[in-house]
Amino acid sequence: MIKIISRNKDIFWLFNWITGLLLVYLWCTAYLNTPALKNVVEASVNSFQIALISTGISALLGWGFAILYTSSQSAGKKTLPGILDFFVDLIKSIPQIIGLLIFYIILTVLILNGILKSSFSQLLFMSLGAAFFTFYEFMSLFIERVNYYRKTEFFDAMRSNGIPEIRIVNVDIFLKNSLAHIVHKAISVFGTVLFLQCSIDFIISVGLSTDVSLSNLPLSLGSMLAKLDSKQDILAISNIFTNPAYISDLLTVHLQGISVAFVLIFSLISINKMTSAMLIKKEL
Amino acid sequence: MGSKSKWNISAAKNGNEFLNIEGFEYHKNKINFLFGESGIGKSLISKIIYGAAAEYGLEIKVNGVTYEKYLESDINKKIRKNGFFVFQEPSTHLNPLEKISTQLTEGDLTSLRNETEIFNEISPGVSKTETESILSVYPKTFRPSGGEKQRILLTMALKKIKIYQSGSEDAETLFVFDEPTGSLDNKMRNAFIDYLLITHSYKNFSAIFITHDYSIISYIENRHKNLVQNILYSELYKAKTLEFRKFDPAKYLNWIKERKNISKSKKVGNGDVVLQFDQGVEIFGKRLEFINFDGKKDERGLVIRAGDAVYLKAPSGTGKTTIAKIIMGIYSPEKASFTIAGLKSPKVNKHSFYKNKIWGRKAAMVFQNADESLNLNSKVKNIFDGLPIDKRDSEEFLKKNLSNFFDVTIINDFSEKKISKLSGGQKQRLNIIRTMVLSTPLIILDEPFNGLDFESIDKVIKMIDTLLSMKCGILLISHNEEIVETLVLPSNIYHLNSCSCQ
Repeated sequence: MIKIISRNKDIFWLFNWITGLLLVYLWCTAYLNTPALKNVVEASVNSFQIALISTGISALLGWGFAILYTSSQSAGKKTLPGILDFFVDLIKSIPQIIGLLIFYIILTVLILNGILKSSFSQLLFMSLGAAFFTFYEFMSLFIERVNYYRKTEFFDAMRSNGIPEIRIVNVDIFLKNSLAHIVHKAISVFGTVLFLQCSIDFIISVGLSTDVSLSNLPLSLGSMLAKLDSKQDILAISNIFTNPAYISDLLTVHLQGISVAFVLIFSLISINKMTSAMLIKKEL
Repeated sequence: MGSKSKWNISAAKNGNEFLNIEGFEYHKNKINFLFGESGIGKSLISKIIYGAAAEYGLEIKVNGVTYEKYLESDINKKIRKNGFFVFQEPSTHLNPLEKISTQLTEGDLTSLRNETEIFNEISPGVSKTETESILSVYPKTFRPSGGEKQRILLTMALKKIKIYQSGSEDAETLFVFDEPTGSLDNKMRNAFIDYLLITHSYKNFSAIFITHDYSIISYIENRHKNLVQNILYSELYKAKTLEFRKFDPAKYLNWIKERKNISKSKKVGNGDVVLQFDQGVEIFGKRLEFINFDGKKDERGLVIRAGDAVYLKAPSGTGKTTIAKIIMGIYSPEKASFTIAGLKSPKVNKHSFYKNKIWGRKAAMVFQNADESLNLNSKVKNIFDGLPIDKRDSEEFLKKNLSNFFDVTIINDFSEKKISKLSGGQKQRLNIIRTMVLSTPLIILDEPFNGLDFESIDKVIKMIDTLLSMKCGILLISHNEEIVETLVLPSNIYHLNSCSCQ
């Protein structure tokens, strides 16, 4: 086990990430008050849940569009790939953060009209929003993989022997030859969604809209960070420059904001390190 | 008789040993032809001995010492100083920023200025003006052609040999030719062999000549019988470990003689027409024409009947594979008309026509590059997955078909192996089996003998004979004229001509 972790940098960073989160949790159980601890845990779980569901939806959407795109290409059709290209370019032209903000406005309207009542349905909608602005990353990857194999004899050698194209694409290209690429993309989209969602929560917290308010939405790492006491906790970091002994207070008294910020930043760093290590290891 | 040079070599990557051979040998001052399936280690062993394997970052041991020490040894320093390595892929050896004429006269090659003469000698049919035009270009991916690049590299090696021969002492040296004739047609190949053997007879030098082209043996026996004492044949093969042994040329010569006798008893087929390809194909601005065995352009074009094998011959780059890909609906020509097993190729909706009626049903094709054609991340037991045939998933079907090409005793373990772990020859055999089990009315084999050793070639030929007896029509595309010509009747040999549409 130790050998595997030390030899594989991506696994090493996954291990670091999980261990880091566990240590923060243990530290918080010892020093953070129960309501705040409950909020930190709920915010973390919600944020990771949104990022995970969003990555799943994004992958499914990307796969579906890519299959449509490549099968029409194979059949020599040009209209459908043209329409898909236009649609995807249109979505790409909207900055992800603006797109997601629009989704949040729709989400608030749906909540205010009582259409989305349960916390899970709200989470699901938030995930859908993030997936809508990240799915083209998967779509491009899937199309790129198919086109790579089309340039070699792989695709033609298989289909001229009667192997169905849908099988060549899904089994032979995606499943057997692109898993590492897909996992790499999934990790990177997971990180993007986590970052996007926290950024949006922060933007909302400064009061861009009266309709879209953090109090309407499920708790997340971003919304936790935007709370006044968390902000005060983070501002308290500056004290250690004048009074280094204050560090012990920082890790016990100001724990809510510090731990939320740590979970967020440490997760993003770990994800970034994991994807970079995977790129090198798998020669992607 | 030259003395033997014996080698024990091992190579590992990240602690995993993937090559280990004891007792590899070449005879000094002789031309050592080395056969064996592709991917078995011929190139790497030769690169290690020559001293050209340092860049791969492998943990190499040569006769018990580390590679770093071996590279420092006198013997290796002399080999590199006096010798030359002709790489299989000539592009890797040519500098795109320098004219070819400059590259042929720099470094060690400065002292002799006979490059044009040598290039012409090994390029029959190429005029001096054409040679000058080739030598004056900067190498690019598409120009010079693969065959020309190969001859340029051979010119460098032959120049280096001449320089070595002009020295007075009998110094240690080694010239390695790694598949030097892969992109040459028989005329060019023979010209190179003539030049090499005759040059060798003036003053002997040590050479390793890696090849899969067994027909070189016949050529040397017929043309250079007086020089056979300068030549040794050997092969690498995989038993439990990698082994080295002498190859008896008589084995091949008797086999080919027998094959020729069998071919004489073949009769003209009278089965249904499985492919009728009309004259007048136009693609990529070229017009391609089929010329009959008697040298005439037959208006019927190319015809293949059930139970017949047809050989399509042409120099590299003429368009043989292009024709095969047009038949299989992969390329869309500007102009072409053909019928496969009674079905006329449509002008519109080609994709659904091929998908529903042709691929794997009426026609199938073996592509020349097994590494690209197979899913290297699949296991051997999954080789038939997805094919449009019954029982493809049954173990019995798998074993029965694998046993045609592989040793029955290894099949159980073998079927669990990842295809990427197989040797090049094993991959090529799998590539062929996958198409052959389909037994479609038309089967196209593009360079089916690529990377195969003698035993495997024999097995493929037997499989082709079986398919012919099952009334399949076969289109063969191959550089290996001598072997393929034993499979087809002279009237079934077509030459492909290419000319510009303008």
